[in-house]
Amino acid sequence: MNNGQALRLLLADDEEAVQKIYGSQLLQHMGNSVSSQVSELERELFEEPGAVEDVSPTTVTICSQGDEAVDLTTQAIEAGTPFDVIILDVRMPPGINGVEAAELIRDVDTTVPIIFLSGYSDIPKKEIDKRVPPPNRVHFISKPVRMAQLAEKIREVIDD
Amino acid sequence: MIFVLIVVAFGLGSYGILSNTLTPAFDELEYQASEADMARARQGLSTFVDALGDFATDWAHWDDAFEFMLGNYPKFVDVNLGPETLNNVDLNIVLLYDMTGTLRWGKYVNDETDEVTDFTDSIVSTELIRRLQQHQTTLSELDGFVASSYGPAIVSSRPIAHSDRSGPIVGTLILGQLINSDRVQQLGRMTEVDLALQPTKSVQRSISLARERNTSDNDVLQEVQEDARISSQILRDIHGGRVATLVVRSPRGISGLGREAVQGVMISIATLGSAIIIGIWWLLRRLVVSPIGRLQLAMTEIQHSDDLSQRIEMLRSDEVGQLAAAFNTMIGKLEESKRRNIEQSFKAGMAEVAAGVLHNIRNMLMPIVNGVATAHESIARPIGQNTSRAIAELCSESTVPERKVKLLHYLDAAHDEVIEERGQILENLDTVSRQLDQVTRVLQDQELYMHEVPVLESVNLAEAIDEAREILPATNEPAVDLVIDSELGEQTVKAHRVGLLQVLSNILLNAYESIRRTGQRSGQIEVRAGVDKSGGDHRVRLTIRDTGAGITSDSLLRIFDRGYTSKVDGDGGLGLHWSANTLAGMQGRIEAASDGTDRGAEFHITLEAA
Repeated sequence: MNNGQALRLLLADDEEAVQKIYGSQLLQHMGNSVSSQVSELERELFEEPGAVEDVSPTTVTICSQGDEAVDLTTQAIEAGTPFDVIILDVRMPPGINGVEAAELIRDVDTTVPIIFLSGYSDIPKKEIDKRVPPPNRVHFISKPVRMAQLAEKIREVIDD
Repeated sequence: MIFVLIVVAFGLGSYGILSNTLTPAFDELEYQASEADMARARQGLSTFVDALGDFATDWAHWDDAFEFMLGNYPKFVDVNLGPETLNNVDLNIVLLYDMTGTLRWGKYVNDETDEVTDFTDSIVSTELIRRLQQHQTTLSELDGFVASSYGPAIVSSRPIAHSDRSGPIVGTLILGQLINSDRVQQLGRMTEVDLALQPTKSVQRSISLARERNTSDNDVLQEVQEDARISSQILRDIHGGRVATLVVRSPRGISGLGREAVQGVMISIATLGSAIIIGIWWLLRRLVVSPIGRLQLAMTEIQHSDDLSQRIEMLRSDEVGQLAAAFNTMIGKLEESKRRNIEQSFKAGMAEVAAGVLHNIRNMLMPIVNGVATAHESIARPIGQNTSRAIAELCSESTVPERKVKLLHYLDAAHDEVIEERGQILENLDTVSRQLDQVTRVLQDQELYMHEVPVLESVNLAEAIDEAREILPATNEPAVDLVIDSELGEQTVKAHRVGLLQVLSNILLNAYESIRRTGQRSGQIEVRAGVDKSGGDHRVRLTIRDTGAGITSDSLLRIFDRGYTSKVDGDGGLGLHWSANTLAGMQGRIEAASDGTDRGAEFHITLEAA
């Protein structure tokens, strides 16, 4: 889907601790290489030249409110660099919730996969499917989730 | 009050109708009766006049009298008209005139003294006497009344002729009878009329009354007095002169009867109306006012007590009874609605709390889960996996010095990364620790909410079991027979309704699962209740016994521990630990008993009686 180009993710969650995890661990699980002196010396000392695989890095944009997510999506569309996947928490007080944000996002991007990642949703899945079509572009994961699982889900969503 | 006004109006209306119909009818009857009395009195007087006329005819048409007038029989008066004869025939005046108008013989008989004296012109006016002598034929008759100096009198005048009434007329015979008190009384007795003959003075009054009323002198006048109708009619002499007034007094018996009838009817109406008013008042008080008063009192009591379990006891089938029944139904629905509202509010509150806690804890678990995962990954990931190889090369003499230097750098960098990784693991564990502290605080906050225990209410155990049994699966595998003792309906406990329902649902579901685990196709859950005799207070003991897999003695010791479950899949649901805590919050207790594996189990719940 991204044709080997860098993935662009948008994540909206009001919990600061969760935001930190997105910013570090998720990127690692998305394959972003962590360059260190040890790894460079290992490649130099013990590996055959040309064996290094060049992986396109994943970029993550993080915000804490639903309306920010809508603005960022609009800006990305206008800049010609739309997000590949948008991950939204459902409850994000005090602003609009994740479902309301997704409805507004659908006004500017009708196909971007949206993953709702929430500790608890007041809104039934059937209702969300109605409000945020199409259903095959909307996914749900309950917290807590390991970043490895989330990364796997992101790749699965992109490959669909 | 309105009904009293209606009855009074009806009475006044009836009085008006009766006064305008019945009373005038009786007055008319009385008027006619009075006229009849006057007619009978007049008829009586005519009878007197006729009798005197017959007497005068006999004497005038008499040959002896004829001869006397011709001077041929001078002894006629001595023989036939002596004082004794005059007294016997009850005459007061006897006059014999010849054809020249000369009185040949005339006598006046005093009624009181029977004295016979000569007639004088002062007794009856000369003009009247002259008119009484004007007979044209022998059959001529002049009868009527005259006013004499002794009072009104009846007179009859006849021409004197032969006995066979042949002429010539040789004179005139005039006979007179005073209408004295004896004769008036005789007339009264004869006619059965209370009458009187009034003298000239009254005559003048009658005339003036007649003129005032614009009626003829000859008309019968009626004067209505309190107790009688007074009819009067002027008696005139044979030439129209006024003689006296005949006065007839007719008692007002008829109109009196009419008035009595109206009064009787009015008294009857008043009595009946009063009786109806009293009766209706009594009935209203007994059937409406008093029951409505009780109804109002009961409503006020319910209003003040806010106890919607109260009902109005009114065993009546009338509208008030139906009103009470409708009120009871309404209160029942209100009570049910209130109960459901409380439950709904409580459940909604619980759901809201649960949702909030769920959201917060799951968010807190994110760093914990990922912190632990990262630590695990860090520890699992080999750092400097070529260190052994690097050391080996360093020890080898064949390794060139430049590579040895890089190998030393590599080992040094790997050591530094291990130190750094260790630091990151510690940092992750710190994060996990902080998040766990937050989870602990959230849970402590929830413990504070646990003290917000809902107010205990009266809960009927039969109703509670009836609602709780809905949780049992509607399947026949196994077929579970739920036997509920009728005593349950008599037992009401103080409990938090929703909590108790959840506890009962939990125990019933456990019993069902226990029966299913035996592999039997059927089983029984028995529910019974009674007074808990072991408790010092007035407490109720509810027992739920099943024929399920039973509980081992080891399990009995741990069955109320947190996290304990006997289920294969480990899903404990709310669990007995929660049930025990919930019951404790209602000052209740739960115990379990079993004779061992496949011997079934019993759960005993004791709660304070309501």
